[in-house]
Amino acid sequence: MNQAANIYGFGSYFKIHAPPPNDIDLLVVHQDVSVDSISLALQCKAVLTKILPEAHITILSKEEERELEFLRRSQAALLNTVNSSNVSSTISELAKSLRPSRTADACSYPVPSLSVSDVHEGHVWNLE
Amino acid sequence: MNDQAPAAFPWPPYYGHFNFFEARMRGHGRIKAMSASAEGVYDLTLTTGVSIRVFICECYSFGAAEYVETTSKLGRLDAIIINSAWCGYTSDAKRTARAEKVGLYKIGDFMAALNRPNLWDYLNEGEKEAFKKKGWL
Repeated sequence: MNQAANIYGFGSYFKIHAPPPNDIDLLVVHQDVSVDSISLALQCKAVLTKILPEAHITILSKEEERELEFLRRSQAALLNTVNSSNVSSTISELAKSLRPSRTADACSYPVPSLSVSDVHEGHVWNLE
Repeated sequence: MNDQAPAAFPWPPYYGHFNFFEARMRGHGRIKAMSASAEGVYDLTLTTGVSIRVFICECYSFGAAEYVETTSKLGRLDAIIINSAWCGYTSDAKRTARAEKVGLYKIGDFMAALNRPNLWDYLNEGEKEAFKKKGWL
């Protein structure tokens, strides 16, 4: 079965005018706690850690995220969706998009004003 | 402890603050001996003579996938303790760990669980309610 996981960014790396932090906070939200879904999430973490060693990665299933309200609390923004068939390529593209974006003054993917409905599912940034 | 945040698995001990955990363990009547085995892993000997291996985690949120990752990389553990006031764990992670007789707690609940014969089995009142609601108890 083809699995999918969403990758979100949160924390000071993604905030406008915040001093450039040393790390990038990312959240992987996977479908459920089945073996296949957890396997995809851990694969995402492994690839992210390899490409972005400065990233701190949290992993939650959709249900776990709902329980903790992580997206709302952290004001996380959706960066991309990974499928089990394209983990490496999607994350490589994501890393390329993230790395050059940060300057000493600001992130080029500023967090816009978010409505409650945006935050519930995470806000989608255009990384192009 | 090292104040630098290593990139190594599983989560960097951001401030190397295991001192709080160590102090609480030294003050617990059921702990006879304690030794640090690896980064964040401790072997505790209880007054009953039983030895337990615990991992101190400082992640933001500990979910079921992170439980799988932790035990696959660190091997058999008896308890995982979420060691930061601002961090927590999910019901699914607790349930998954409990099914494998591994305790998952915040430090206060671990202190209470140490007084029980099956420490992995311990649920606080909120968890009992939540587990009943989900039909897990």
